[in-house]
Amino acid sequence: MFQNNVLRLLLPAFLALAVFVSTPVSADEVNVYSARKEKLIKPLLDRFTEETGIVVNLVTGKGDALLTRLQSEGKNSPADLLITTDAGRLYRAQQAGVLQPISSQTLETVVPESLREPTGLWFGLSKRARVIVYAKDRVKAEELSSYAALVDEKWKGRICIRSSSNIYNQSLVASMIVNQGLEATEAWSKGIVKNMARPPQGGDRDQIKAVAAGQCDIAVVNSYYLGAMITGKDEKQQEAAAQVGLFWPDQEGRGTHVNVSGAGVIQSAPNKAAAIQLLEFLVAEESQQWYAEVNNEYPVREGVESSELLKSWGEFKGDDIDMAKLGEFNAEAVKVMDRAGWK
Amino acid sequence: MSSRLVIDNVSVSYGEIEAVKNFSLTLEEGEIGCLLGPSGCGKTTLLRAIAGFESVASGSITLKNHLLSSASTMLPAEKRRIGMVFQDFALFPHLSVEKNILFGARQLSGDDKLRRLDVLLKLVGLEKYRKVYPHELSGGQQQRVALARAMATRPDLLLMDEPFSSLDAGLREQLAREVRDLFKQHNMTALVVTHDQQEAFLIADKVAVMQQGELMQWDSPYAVYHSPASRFVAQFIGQGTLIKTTADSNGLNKALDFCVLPDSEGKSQEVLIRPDDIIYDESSELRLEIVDKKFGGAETVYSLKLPDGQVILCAIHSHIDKDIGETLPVRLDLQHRIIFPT
Amino acid sequence: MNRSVTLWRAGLLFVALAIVLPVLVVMSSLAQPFGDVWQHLADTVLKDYVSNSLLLMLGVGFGTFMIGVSGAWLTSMCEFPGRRFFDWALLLPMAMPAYIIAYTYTGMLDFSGPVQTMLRDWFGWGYGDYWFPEIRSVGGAVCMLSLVLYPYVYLITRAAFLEQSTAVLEVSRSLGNGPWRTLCFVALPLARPAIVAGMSLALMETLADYGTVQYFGVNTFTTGIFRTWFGLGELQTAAQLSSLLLLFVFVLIVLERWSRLKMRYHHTSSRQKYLARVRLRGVRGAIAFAICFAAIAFGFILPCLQLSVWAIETWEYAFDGDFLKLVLHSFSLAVMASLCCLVVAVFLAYGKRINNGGFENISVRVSGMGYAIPGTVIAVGVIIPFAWFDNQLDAWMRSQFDISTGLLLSGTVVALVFAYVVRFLSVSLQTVESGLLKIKPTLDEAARSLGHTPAQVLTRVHFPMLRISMMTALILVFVDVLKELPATLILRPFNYNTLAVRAYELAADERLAESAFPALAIVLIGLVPVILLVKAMNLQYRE
Repeated sequence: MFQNNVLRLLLPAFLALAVFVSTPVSADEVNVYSARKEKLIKPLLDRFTEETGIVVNLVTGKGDALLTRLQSEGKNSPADLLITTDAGRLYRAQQAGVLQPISSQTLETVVPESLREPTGLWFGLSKRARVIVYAKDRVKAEELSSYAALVDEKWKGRICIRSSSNIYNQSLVASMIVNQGLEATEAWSKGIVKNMARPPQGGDRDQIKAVAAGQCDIAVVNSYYLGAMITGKDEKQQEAAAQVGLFWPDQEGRGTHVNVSGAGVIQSAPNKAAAIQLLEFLVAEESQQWYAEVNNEYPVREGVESSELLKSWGEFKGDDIDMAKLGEFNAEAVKVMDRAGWK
Repeated sequence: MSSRLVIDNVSVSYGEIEAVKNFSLTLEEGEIGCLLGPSGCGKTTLLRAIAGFESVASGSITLKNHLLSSASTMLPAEKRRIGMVFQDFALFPHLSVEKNILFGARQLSGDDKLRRLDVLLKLVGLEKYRKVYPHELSGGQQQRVALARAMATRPDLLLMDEPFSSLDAGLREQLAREVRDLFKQHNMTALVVTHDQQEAFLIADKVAVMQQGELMQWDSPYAVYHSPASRFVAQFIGQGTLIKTTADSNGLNKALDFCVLPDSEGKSQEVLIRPDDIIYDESSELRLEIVDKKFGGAETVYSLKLPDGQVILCAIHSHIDKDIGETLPVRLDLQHRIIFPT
Repeated sequence: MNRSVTLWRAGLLFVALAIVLPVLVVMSSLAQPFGDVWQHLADTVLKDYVSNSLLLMLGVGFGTFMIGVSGAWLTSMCEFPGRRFFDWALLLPMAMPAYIIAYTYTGMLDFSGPVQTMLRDWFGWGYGDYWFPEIRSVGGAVCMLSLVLYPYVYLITRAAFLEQSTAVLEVSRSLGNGPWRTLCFVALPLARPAIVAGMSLALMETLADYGTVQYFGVNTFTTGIFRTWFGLGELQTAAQLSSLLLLFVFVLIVLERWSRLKMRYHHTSSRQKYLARVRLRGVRGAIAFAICFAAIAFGFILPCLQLSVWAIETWEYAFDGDFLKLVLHSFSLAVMASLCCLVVAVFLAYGKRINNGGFENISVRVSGMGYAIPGTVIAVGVIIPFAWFDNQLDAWMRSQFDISTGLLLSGTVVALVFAYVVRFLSVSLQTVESGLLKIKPTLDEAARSLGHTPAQVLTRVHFPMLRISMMTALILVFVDVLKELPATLILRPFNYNTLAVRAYELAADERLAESAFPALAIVLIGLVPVILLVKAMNLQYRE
């Protein structure tokens, strides 16, 4: 009976509070659907609000789920801006017709042509490079060259790479399909599967840790994960990261595979102007530097002072494939990996 | 105003099956009625129809001149002022004895409630158990609580569904007597369902014998026993055998001649012979062979073979102890002539 | 009489339809053509999905049965050191989300984790020199899921054991069966509905699990659904896969019901006294202790310790100004959803009790189907009809009154709570139904003949008797909602994060240590009601 009374007293209070805190409404606002995690975008958005007085309302989630939400909400959707962590999702949003083209002098000058949709449906905001890390004590950098060379016999049982469900593996394979065609890519995928030290598991940090621990000798990961391990607080991760080296693949050829996080304005955006303003803010020098500093991603803007760590990794040549192609061949890439038995 | 219950031509159906057929009966105020019959005869269904848990297909049920049920009306159970005691007692396991008893007496003020509770607890002899929960009571005690609970609302009619069936035999008899005294003291009108005729005879003023949904007889226990209105009643109530006889059949005439109806000369008929109709008589010429015997303490019931092979029962003092195969000198002492033409 | 029955039925139909709508939206995909992707799936990965899911089900079924039933038997029938503690402590792992226990064990046990590193340091081994069980595998997933899901089996089975008529157990003993034979041939078969209810909850949760298997790289039917949607961009095919999963569950449920059609499990006599507990001394007591302790140690204490270590390392980062808001959001969502579930469950179960017909049975059964569907799929099933309704309403209001109502319900707490109800109704429904089943119909009639209307019977007889069942239902849903992630992720309003979302985002970004603080908060908040539940249960059996 005691619990009943407590419940009776507390319930209305909590319900009232819940409704109260749910949705703040403001005249000047912009509504963002973001596939970038809250911790990796909120500080920037807060700074935007500070500077402009425009309140940013945020929902984070998986890219495809947000897209489904957008599609079913239709023309009454409150969303103004869709932020994703890869070009493939932007391409899907474009195909679904939920984005509208915008023209902005700033965006068009700052964002390189290969990193945005030509009609202005979406723009890249930061670059993410897929690199090879290697165990410094067991592998020499000279032994490495390109993604294609990873299928060489000598790497048998020495490669760690995560699941084919990972979007960056999908986009890497998609880029290969574009460059080398289906058959060659499928052969390559099979080669990778053959050379794997263990069935794919865990995230990119886990691959790096496995290299450090000796379970495998090289791994394919996104560079910012290595960065996060180096700059993070966890001493064990720092130790692990110190044991591996970073290699930029394909510097002789088409360049290291790069994907972008990006954003596009929603077709039905009720606050279009504010959305454009936010987009422009996100490519401003200060914001671009923040990507480098906080998440070790590469700015899309030319000439931005990058972080010490990124400088230490040196310059690299990125593959300047049309980002839209990554989206176009995403499904094909998954099928290729399925056929290759890439878990 | 009399508080009599009138059941007029009532039928109750479950889908295709007619559980109660054209049943009529009137129970006067202060009378204790009993619905008696083999299991599946529709007695519980009828009781539930009176209580308001089943609707009637035709006919009407009135109590104190208020219509309770008919084909078109169905007064909800809670508005009928009818108390009910269930076979499993249905005590609320989450409530103490006193709360169980006062469950229905909500309209009373606090003092009246307490007073009524005291009266009822005293009545059923459970003064010491008011705070106790049902599962801590014995079966007989639970029964008393159920009874007190049903009486607490001072209902116009009290229904009891096999109230004593889950109690052991000794307790059953004692409780049945107690309940009858209690009802008579308070002039309660009550209708009890049972399949046990001893129970029915103990408690009821009038017994309704039912078979397959139909009323066979509605009479005092004495009448039901000694002048059954039908073959079914004759065989269902008490022990006894129907003996086929004709007025001039040899050997029998002599012993049974007076039970032959005057105008039935030569016709075959059946006569009900109860065990107590056959009396042990050393001087009797009629000696019948013993084919079976059942020792019952004070009495022994012998099965005796008539010359034509039919078997009758005879209950006599158990001091007279004979074995199977021996003969027993008996005489017929038929007080009630119950004869059915065949 | 007839009118009220019709009203009940109409109400029942409406509620059941509303609840089942998202499921129907998903199922409607079956009417669409099966695309080329199916060929691809069948050729490549489908076999894996199916076999892994079946393996997982078998494993978790076995694991939850062994831990749950033995725990229930030991704590309800035996006396051994620590028994009173284990009574409630065995429920603790319930507060631990499966994906979080998976993170912690991976952190501890994988190749680069402290355990293996220590072993290598001690013995001077290198990679490949020794064998160590691979945590990220089907076996690992089975262990993780069993460890956190067995409390469902334990909870329901223990209640059944405690309620079992002592008479039947004593009969069995008197017929020469020892405690073990009595357990196997009398107590277990009698408790079958309870065990099955518990295991079906655990198995449905297993089938719907995405977080754990995805993290372990085990490709199950559910990860397949997401891979098809996200990777292949085939929402339609993903929905078809979900529908097949659902049909599978439905067939299982029907089979189980059918197999016990002829048996009756009502207790003929209410329990009058307690069977004296079997006193386990010496080695046997120690074994009993060890079994119970192991369940708690592996399912709760160890992961909690790991989480605490991480949380202490990172709390400054994790405990920002928003943190209390996260707690409030999680808590209020869980309270609202569990209340809604309870109301709907009582309504449905009561409707079924009053008119026990085929129609009512089907409505009630179908309403509980959502539990087997992954949260994300439910969310899609909720988004589509809600947005459709909002848009239709908006269009109508515009044309009639020139007012735009916009999206009235989509993207609000209402849609989210509705999704929770669809997902978790089964939990509260099962609890309330089994509670109602214990109330003999004659009690209803007794109350009616004492002048109570049906509504009064509900409040004065049923609610007090159902108190424990209803509290159990509330708490189970509360804990489930607290842990729920995928539906929350998709459906929540702007600026409305929960602890689960925060923990997930950090973990998905491979910041396990930082996700520990919100994860620990989920566990701690979930712990409060679990302890309340235990108190309530003890209260019940003391009465």
